[in-house]
Amino acid sequence: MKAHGQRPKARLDRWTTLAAVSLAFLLLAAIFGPLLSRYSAAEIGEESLVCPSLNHWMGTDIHGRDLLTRLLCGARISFLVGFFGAFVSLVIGSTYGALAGYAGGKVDRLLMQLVDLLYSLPTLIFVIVLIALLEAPLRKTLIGWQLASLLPYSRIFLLFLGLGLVEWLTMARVVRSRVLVLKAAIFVQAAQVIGRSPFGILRYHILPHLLGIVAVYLTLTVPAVILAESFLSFLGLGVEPPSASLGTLLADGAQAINPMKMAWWLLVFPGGMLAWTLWSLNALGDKLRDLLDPSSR
Amino acid sequence: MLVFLLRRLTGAIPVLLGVITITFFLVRLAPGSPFSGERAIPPAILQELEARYKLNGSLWEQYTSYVSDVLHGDLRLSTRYRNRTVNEIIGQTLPISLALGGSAFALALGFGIAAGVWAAVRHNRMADRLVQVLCLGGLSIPSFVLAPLAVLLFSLQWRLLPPGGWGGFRELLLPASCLALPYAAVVARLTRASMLEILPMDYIRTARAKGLPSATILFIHGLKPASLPIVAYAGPLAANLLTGSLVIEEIFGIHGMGSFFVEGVLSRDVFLVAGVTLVYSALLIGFNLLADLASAWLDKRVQLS
Repeated sequence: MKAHGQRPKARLDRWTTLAAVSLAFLLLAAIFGPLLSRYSAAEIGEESLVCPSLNHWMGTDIHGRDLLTRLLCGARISFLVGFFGAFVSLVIGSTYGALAGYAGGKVDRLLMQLVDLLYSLPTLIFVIVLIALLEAPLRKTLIGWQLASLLPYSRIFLLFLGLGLVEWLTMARVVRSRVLVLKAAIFVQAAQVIGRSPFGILRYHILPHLLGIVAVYLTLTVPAVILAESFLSFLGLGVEPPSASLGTLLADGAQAINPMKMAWWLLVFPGGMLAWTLWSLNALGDKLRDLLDPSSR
Repeated sequence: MLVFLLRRLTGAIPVLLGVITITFFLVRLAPGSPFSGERAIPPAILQELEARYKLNGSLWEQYTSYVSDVLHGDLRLSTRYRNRTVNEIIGQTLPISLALGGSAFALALGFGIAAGVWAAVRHNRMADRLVQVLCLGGLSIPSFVLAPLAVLLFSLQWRLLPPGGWGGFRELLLPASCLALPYAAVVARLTRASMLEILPMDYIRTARAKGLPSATILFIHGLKPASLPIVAYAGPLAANLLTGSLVIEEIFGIHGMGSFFVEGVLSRDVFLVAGVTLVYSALLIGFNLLADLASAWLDKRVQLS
């Protein structure tokens, strides 16, 4: 991007600051918001489909539930899935990338060809199949282990897993290319000479140098996972009622519009909330990447 | 070139086989059979059904006989839509999905490249800023947010376009643009970045100095080398459009492949799911091949191997 090959100055511009502040605001709202609200997200009220008013700032849905409260709870779930899913992808992607990069040669070529292949397959479709199919066995195991109280979370757990299994590709690429560079560094060669095991070298000499870059790409994976989760929830394959993520709320909103009663607030607020969340994470991640990963241009 | 094509096409076979194998076993090993509906079926009838849909015998036998059928071009009967073959369903829905995906692809590239070039030419001026802001916005507004809002505004409020259905250009316009816009933002960013690298180069200055029309400079001398990253993005773009069309078809009530796929997964219709996944993967592999050929044509230094 920089025509003269300079690194951009390490200074946050207005937009990035705005993104960081709004992200902090959204996180705080998602964590504490539902506690402050005088409604509960699941409580069915008498006034259904009320326009936004002083009593219900964002109106109510078809069952009379306060949309603002549901939205805050939904954001909570979306963030939860986003962070955990990104974490799963981080573990898979960085292990995979580090192994490929450190092994080099044929192994590297083979592993990276697989990544290229997966990039161009409709991987989200595999997640759909995975979630639809693993759900019943997981429920059975939970009941078998006397953990029936965890049942409502089984779908969310599968989402962490499935989305993590799909979103690790970029992380693997980035980590691999960084490991390739580090492998040639003198301190790694020195460690090899004194006979450290490959695992020890990866763990103690290479991993600490990866943390920065991994953190940056983690910021970019979170919105990707949130987006994929909302997509699945929108199709009815993600978070299930009574819990609701931003995608579920949006799907409810899309169901509720018809020419007779245009409950625009059921669409505009969840959509806006999702877009706002994705924007602040993307804007922040982009800027961090420009600052910390010059190779990405 | 011919060797390259042959190698790529033979390389696709194990991939497609892998796709079939994975989907087949995923669906078959999952609990619940295609026939476990609300009512219990007597064992005799169940046997009859399993024989009819060739789901009897050991899992391995089922798998091998399925693969041999697929190799003969028979994707078998759908268990969800009884009496319809998967070949038939795909034959009916693939053209719809291709029309939707193809027009979204064209829109994403067209708008994206135009906006990207415009931003690069007006680097650091109002237009550039505007395009950049719009791009981040576009990236953050997924098509399934855009689509219901568009229906609300254009179909219900202003009554300009039909809210769903399939038929002519008017029905296509709204779903295709909702599907395309987020990706147009990605294309615009890529175009802008790579044009900004190309435009300060010496040969562009030479072209200017010898008085070539600026349209020729921009679109022939500039855009051709600058489009390499865009061509590289075409593969992932096609994959994203395919999955994106699942929700778009749902929202606009279009009976494309996506809607049948979702229904197939939910009802454990193993042959429908495997068949549609196979078609998706084959489409994408073919598409990536085209993208590689295009990048070799654009940049003679790219070696096809």
